[in-house]
Amino acid sequence: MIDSTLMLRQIHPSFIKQGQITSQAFRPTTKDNSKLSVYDHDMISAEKAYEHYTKELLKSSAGIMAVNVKECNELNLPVLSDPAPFPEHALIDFSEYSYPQSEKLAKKLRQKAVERDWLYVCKNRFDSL
Amino acid sequence: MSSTLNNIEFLSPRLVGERFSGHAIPLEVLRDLAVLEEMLVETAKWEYLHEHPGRQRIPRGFTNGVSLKLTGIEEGSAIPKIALFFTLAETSLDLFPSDNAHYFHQAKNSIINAVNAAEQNRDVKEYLPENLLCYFDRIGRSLRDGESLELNPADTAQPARLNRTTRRKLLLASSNVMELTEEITLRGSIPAADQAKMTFDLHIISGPTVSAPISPQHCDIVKEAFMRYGNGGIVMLQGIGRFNRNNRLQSIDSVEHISLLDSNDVLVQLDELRSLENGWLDGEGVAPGKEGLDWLVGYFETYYSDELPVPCIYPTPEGGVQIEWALNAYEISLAVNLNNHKGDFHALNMSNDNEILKSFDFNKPDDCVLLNQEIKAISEAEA
Repeated sequence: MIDSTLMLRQIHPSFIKQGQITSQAFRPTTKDNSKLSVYDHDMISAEKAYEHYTKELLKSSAGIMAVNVKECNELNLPVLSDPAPFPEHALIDFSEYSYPQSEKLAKKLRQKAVERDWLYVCKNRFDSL
Repeated sequence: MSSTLNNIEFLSPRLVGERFSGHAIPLEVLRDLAVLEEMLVETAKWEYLHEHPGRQRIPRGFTNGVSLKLTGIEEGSAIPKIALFFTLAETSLDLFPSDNAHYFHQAKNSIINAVNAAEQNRDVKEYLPENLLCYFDRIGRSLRDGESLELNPADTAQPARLNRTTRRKLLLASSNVMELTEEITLRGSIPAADQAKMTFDLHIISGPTVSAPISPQHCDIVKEAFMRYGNGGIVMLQGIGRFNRNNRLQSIDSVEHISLLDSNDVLVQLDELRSLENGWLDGEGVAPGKEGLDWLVGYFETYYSDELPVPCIYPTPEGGVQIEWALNAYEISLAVNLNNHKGDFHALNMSNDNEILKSFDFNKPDDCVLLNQEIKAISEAEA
């Protein structure tokens, strides 16, 4: 994992409206123990990560966006490898922050991800993006 | 033989609710009161036959010259004064209206008693037969949540309060009533229209598809929405809906207003959230509650200025919503708790990291206005 390594984030369909993505997609929910789940792009492609997420973990995703390790570190968000659930799994650690700091950081991450654009889009969701 | 009009004060029902403050009665509510005359006449006939079990029909001319008229609205709360008018023969020596008046007074009392029984969960059929209860389908239909029509406000203990709840009880007490009608406001798209039958299908956002009639004045809008089906052709429809006894919408009886909406209209977005179920976020995620969404619809309709930019509205895993705007350099989010109607406002200037943090309590009208001011100020800041 180096500065340029992309961290792939699955975007839930309910977190997209009129092509806009909510900042919630880039901050952990209460069940996430203050850590945002991502895939390590050095270990898996965006398309494979999407297939793994939707077909093996049976979760919903409209597609994949990404931020890199350097962008996280510049926001003082540590990026940790977490292979316990599956080898390509990683975490962006928000545990030092609570609302509204986490909301600010989520908006910053979203900005970087949106500038980079979608890395993978679910084929039947083009209309909503 | 000439005749004269004689009138007696008959009924002074009280309308309770915010809409009726300021000595005013909306015209749509007067429509309900007009049906009261029909019901009174039919109930008076029933009273007569009830007192004369040997008779097969009421006497000829029993209802001739009898009418209810609105003679005024009292100051203060909206109390329409309704008088019963009788046409009397000029040669009549009677100082009072005909004997028929007796049956009209009995009819009034039976209706009042039935409404009181509904409020007190007693048997309404003790006072009115099932066929007459059907009139409540049109009486009180325009009343909204929190509003009531007190038929006998002078009796503060038993004012015969007709509201959405008692009206429903009165109707469901009748086995004749298979369907009920209610005023409706719906948003949806139009996947089908039949110009020969002059009907169209409305696919309600997060709801079923129901059939509605096309009125000539609405034809162009229906056609346009039909042509734009699947491509942003969303309409808002106000009219009368027909529900079964389980409160499921069966069809639309009439359309009073219909207009095209923007596909990103906040009310459309909020309706879309109604289809979410608990577990919507991959097994987690509480679905936003109907009452909370209804409240937020009311908030946007009442307070959010049409001149302000349209936000995007997303569900939150906790069962609330997050409302977001991108204005100039600012990324704005408002996390709203739909249970307590409070919100956390966060605006971040992406250029210089300037932050605006506020907490709003939307139970307070001042805070509702403050959100408008905040969004307006940010949208104009660097415009």
